[in-house]
Amino acid sequence: MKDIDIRSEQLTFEEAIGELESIVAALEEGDVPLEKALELFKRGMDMADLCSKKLIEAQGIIKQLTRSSSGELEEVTFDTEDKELL
Amino acid sequence: MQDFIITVHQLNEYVRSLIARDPLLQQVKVRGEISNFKLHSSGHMYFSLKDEKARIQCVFFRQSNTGLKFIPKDGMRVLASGYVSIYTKDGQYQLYVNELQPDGIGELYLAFEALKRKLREEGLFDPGHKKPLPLLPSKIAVVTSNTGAAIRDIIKVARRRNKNIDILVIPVRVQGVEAPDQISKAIRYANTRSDIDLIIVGRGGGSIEELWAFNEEEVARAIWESNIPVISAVGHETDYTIADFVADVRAATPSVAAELAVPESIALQSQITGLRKALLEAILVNLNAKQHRLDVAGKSYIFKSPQLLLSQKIQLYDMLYQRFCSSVRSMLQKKSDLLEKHMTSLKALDPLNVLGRGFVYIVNAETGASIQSINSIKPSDRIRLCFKDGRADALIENLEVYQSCDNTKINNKR
Repeated sequence: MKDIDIRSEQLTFEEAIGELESIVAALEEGDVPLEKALELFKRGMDMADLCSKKLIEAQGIIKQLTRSSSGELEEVTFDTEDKELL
Repeated sequence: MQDFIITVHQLNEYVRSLIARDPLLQQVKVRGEISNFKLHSSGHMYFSLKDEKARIQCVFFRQSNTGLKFIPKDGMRVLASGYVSIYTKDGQYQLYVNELQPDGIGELYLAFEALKRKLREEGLFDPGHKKPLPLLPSKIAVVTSNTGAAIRDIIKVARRRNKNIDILVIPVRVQGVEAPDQISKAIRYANTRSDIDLIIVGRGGGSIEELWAFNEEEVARAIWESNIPVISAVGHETDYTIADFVADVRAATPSVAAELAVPESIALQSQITGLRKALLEAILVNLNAKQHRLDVAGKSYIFKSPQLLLSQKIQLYDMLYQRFCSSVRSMLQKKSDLLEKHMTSLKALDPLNVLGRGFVYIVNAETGASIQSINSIKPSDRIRLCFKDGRADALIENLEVYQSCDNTKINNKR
């Protein structure tokens, strides 16, 4: 996947998809100067990439919070008895 | 017998053994209202049961109260089952409760309605306060029992919809007297973390007493104070708890909560793909529009055949060149006409022409100098007469000088 600048990385999924939607709307409106249109297009592609990236960012990890013997909170793998889940 | 002296302890023990022998006191069921309720850190409960006329001290040990399905409260009318005995240390006789139940569902219902009214008036159910759920949560905290059906349902549904979703289970008791405190603490704990952006709090189905923790004010306030959006999922579709009213979104069941919380990755993926396509189409339409404008401009005859532009220039050049040439010619003509005119004028002035009309001009025969005045000659000077067609030398004999030099006079005299 393409490099996306740090500032964009901090966007949430809905911010990114919202920006993508408004870029598409702006371009569909038409009458955008060529330079601006290309700039918007590039930004839109970046946002789409960011959305796709965010979609697979989480890894499907299921943890359970427990208190260790020393009293500290710690996260351990959550053992679903339902084996088909794992 | 009168002199028989015993210790305090022996006395209390004796009374205790007397009571213990009474079968009725070993299994009584008492109706009364709870007061001075205290939950000790050991898990034991201490309270009084009272009615209009009397009160009795009660103990409800942890090992007996763990299965309790509701949270006892001061003022609540209950039925307490247990046995009567004496705490021999202080001679206090009390009811050792082994089962406690609300005195009719009406009691719980009244408590529920009272709290609901109070919290509504305070604005805890205010729709304006409700937060939107994130479109794609990065990590979901699930506050529920880690052994119940609810957590299994939530995980199963969540993973089916999006296998990449991260979940943190915060295990709590969901019923019993410790439940409200644990649930509230878990919600507050989730709010101290930066990686969680959605909370599901709930449990599977049960009786109204079993769901009671979710009707507790403490839980309601923790939900209301949460900065992270909260989905409540308590019991079945028909069960409504205070938590449901305060939560940002109420899910009918834990499975529904997972559906509301986790977007289907396929749906999001296709939304992104759709937007990508729309973006491409939009930029193409944009570029095509510009191409079209370019084409229209390009169709103007100048761009279409640039040689036309050149031939025009050539034509213009030719025309200018011709004009230049003709103007030079006409100028030359004018000059030449003028020259001719001047030549004619000059011709008229040619002395030879004058000579033809009977005049001669005279020069000194020796020097050839032109003689224009009588004063230039003297008698016996040799002069030369120049005719149109020849010359003759002559000798001056007489001179007569006119007094006036006026030419007109001379002409007139002639």
